Amino acid sequence: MKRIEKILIANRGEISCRVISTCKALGIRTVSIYNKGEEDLPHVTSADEAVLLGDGSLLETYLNQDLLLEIAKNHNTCAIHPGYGLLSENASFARRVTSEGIIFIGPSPESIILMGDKIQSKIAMEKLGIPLVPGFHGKNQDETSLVEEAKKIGYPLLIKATAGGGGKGMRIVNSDLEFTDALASAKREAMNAFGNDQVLLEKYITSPRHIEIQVFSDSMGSHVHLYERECSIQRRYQKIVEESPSLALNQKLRREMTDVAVKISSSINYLGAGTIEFMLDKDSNFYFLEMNTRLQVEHPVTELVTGQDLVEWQIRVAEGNSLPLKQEEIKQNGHAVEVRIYAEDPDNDFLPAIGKLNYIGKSTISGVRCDIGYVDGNEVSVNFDPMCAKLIAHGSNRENAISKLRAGLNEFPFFGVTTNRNYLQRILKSKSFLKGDTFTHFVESKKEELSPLKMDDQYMADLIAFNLLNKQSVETINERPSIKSPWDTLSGLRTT
Amino acid sequence: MITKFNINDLIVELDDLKKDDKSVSFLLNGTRYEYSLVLSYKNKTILKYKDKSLHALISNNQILYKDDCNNVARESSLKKSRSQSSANPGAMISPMPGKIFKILSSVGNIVKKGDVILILEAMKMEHSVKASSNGVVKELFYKEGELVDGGVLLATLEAVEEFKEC
Repeated sequence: MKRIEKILIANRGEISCRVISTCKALGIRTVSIYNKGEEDLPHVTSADEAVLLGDGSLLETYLNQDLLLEIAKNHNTCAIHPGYGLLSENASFARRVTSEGIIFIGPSPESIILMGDKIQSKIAMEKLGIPLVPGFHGKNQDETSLVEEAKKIGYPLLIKATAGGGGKGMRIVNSDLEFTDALASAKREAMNAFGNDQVLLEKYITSPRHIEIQVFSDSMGSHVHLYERECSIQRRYQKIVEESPSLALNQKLRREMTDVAVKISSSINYLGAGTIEFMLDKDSNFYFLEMNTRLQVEHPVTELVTGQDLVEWQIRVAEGNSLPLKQEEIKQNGHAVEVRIYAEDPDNDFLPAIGKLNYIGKSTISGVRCDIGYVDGNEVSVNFDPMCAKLIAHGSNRENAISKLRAGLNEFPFFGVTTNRNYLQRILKSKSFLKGDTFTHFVESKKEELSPLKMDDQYMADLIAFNLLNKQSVETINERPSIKSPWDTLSGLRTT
Repeated sequence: MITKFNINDLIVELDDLKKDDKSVSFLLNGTRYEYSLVLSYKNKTILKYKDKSLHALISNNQILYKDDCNNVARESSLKKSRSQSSANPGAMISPMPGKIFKILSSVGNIVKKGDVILILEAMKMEHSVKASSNGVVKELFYKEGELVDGGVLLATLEAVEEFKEC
């Protein structure tokens, strides 16, 4: 067993801040990394040490394995937390980290390779008797044979990049007439995004829910789950609303799905935090989709419902400790809902937006948590994912959690950047969402219900009155404290 | 005297606007509205309307009030934004910085409103820039693969007269 005293966080933004917050609570020192121009971001300013990567492309900076390993060695970090995205599911990075004698806070390279390959993982799961969506996962990528396979599966079907994620390189095809074009564009997008244009075909399930199970394993062979999250509400195949528990699961189905999830993690001898994603159809059949071998963006809903700190769990099992709790000690308590705040305009085809955040807001509501990688005055730039923050509310039941989240959203205006904040409010108050009528095509099929409200005269009069009577001038509101704290300039000072 | 406001791209006209430091009164669509100021501190403003108090957060021209985040512009900023677009109604402006991924139209092409003129790649996604009206593509200012800033002119359209099929 090796105690972790200092961690290099090989990531940025809100997830780096999230890891730093647990590290501080545990007395672990942190090293952050950043690019030129990111000096003011909180993942840089809140870490104990921060190292400039440069100002080149992602490959030269955040994905530069040589540089990251050099930083880890120079700064004597005994472990690397990869966050999500970037190098978190890169097996060769995990292997290199481990071979340098540094702990990789994540699963073994073998698990990453197996689950990172959408074809191999499905073959392995099929052998285990895990239910799969009917489809073609073969190596033969010849167009005529793919058309043949498509006919066998039947339309509608999905074309998916095998190396994909986040909806990139994915297309729905309704008939053989659309197949050729959809295949070409999926392959092109996959090649650009992942450098690999291999695809698989899958039967398209018409009213599916996205249900995933959080699993956790230690190096002593204990494997547990921390129940489900429902993440059916997505746009461009990226989740925007997540919750736990799911209304679609009764105790019997919950038991079946969590049993299957733990069967998977134990059969591959998994280590650390993982998520098994399933598609649930309207007849309560569920199918294995994939396993994410990292901490998920939406992990906070699980943390709030179970009362656990999953980053702490990751660190403890990476040190070689046993899991903090036994399965029967892990309980679901109340309900949690998370929304992802994106810098984008949902009423204009979700077009990403950029700008300077002049007032983000803060929560004053008990049970509302904001995971964010920005502070007032930061720029939201074009270089990274447009997700600005996650707002998560925990309540005694679903209605309570939703109402807290709605009140919470009203405390976060995100002034200065166009966000989906208002659109998220429309989702949270829609009848369909309140009934739990949530499917992965929610955003498209409920478009009408989610369109902006028409403004009535009273509403417009109120807005005009606010505009005419408020005293603040542009200068006062943008006058964010730019005074640096003494800690920024006096680097030799010790705080202990 | 008519005063114009732009709320979420909707032009609203007020009549008989009376305002001092603490109160405002105006006619909107024939109804009189009267408000008084309770508090305005930093970005927080509280107004009184009849017996209700109304709360909002305000910054620059953005207001967060009740469930909505609205953009309200005074007449001055409205004029500014209008003169820009009226100077060139067929101007197609890049919505954000990115790379010209694909150009699907060439100079002289006749396009319908909503036709994709070019595809911009930004934030790891593809975004279609569509024709704002029926017309003829007059100028294209960039080639595929070029990097562009947000707010720059990508192409111009010459509008053609709308006609309906009978």
